[in-house]
Amino acid sequence: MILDIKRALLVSLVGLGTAAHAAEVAVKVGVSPIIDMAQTYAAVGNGYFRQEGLDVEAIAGGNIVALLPGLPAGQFQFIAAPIVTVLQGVASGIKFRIIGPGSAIVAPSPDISPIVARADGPIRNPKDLEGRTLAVPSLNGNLWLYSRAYLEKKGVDLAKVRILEVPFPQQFDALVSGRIDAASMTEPFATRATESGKGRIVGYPYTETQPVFVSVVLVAMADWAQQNPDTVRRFVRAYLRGQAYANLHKKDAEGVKLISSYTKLDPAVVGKIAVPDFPQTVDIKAIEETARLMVRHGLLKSAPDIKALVHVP
Amino acid sequence: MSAVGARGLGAGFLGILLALWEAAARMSGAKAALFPAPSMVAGTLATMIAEGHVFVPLAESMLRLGAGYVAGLALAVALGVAMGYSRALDNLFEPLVELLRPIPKAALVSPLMFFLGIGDLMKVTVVALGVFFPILINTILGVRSVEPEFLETARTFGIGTRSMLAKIVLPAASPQIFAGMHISLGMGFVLVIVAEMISADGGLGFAIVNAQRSFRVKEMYAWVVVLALTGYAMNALFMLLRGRILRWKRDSWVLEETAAQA
Repeated sequence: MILDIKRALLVSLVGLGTAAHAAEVAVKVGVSPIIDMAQTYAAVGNGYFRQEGLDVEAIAGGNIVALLPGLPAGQFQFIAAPIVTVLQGVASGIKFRIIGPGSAIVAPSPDISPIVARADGPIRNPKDLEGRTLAVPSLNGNLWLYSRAYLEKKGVDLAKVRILEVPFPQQFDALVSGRIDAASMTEPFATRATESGKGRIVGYPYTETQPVFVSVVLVAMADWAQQNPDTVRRFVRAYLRGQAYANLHKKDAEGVKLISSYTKLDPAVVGKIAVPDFPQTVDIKAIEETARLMVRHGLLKSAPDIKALVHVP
Repeated sequence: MSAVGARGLGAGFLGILLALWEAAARMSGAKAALFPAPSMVAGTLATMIAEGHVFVPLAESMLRLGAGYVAGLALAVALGVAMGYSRALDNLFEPLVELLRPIPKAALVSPLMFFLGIGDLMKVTVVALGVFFPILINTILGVRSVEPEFLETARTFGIGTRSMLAKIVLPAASPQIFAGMHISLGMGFVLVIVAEMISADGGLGFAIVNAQRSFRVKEMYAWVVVLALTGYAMNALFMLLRGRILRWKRDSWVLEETAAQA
């Protein structure tokens, strides 16, 4: 009898405990171990989301564009997504909404995404890529577009460059093995490649093409955001704290600790990487510039109204 | 039920499913962009064909499949006849075959890329490997099941081994071989698409991934329809050819049901 009472008490205590936690809202966010996502990892790791009453689970993927269909599918509710892909989705009727800034890449070089070739290989400058293979992380994505724009600007015949899709984490191995001749990388992988002595930088597609480029933006689906304004507000508040943290600690030991913890890279290498800006607001003019470039390269039929895509809950 | 009636029932069922899909898509509201109606997909497909975007990727995939299929077929029949006829050769090769056969050939695309690059050679090789095993297994089966009287008779007439294999054993085993060829056709098709998706180098597989990366959903579905229609056409063509070649052995098509899956 007494054993039963003890057991009942234990069960109800546990029940109360889980009920208290149930007041937290559970959301999922898509992530990828690249430099642009430092704010998300910071917000999770420093407990900013928890402090807003959000229980955030990170859904990771190596190829952020391949991960992105999970958002309309409802697999997660938020993701810092590449702008070029977001705009194409919008053009296809997928109702992405920009609910916050992400990373911005600002001239002058060096920036976070160089084109890297083999140090002992034949490619020294952009023109050498004619007749060769260049890897980008996602077809029709940010680096696909800007690598093409950059090569065009440098007088390279795009028809002679074979562009292949290799996700960021696999690019270095593909480069070293000779499967590809060059790769449009991002940090921290780019510095890893150059620090190893096996990679040589050919150029910087972002900053040598456009002085301010908004790389990723925080997105959610329009309907879900409309139905959950409080959750969105709380998430964005915590996320912006993550932005501020990542921006503040761009070049110091705290930042290195954060980035090496989620990329699993040696802190000595991480200390040398380039870092983007993590602004507090969405730069609409820069996005409009990108949209115009997308139209020129056939990714969009017409530039959409960017202001209309920004959603304030 | 008459043949026409049977066909009509199947076609009618397809029609009903399409209508249901159309209705569901139109009512899907928020997810509408991810779930286009058949009418929209058909429209997108018609535009793609009219603008000439379909022919080149389709031709690329078919050429790669064809080359790989012929290579795999030739090797598999040659080795299959040898292994089916000679116990010694069978004992020699069987462990190797049993080890390699269960490997899903799609998994070989990535390792093969290191040796063969990302171009056509890699894709044709992957297809050939996938096509090889079902035909090999079925060829061995077919050869072993040749009635011993045929071989006895051949020996009585003093027909040499080579002639016997080519003129008696191979034709006798051909229904079983065709059963393997039918399986290999489907397998080869899957593999060429997978290889193209991974190496992003043109063809139907690349077209699908390309559309997906840009969130061009209707286009993606349209490419899947192209795949379905292509598969259907290849299958119909195969059965037509088989009917011609095996005209003398119509009743042996029952072997199709007992075809060894590899």
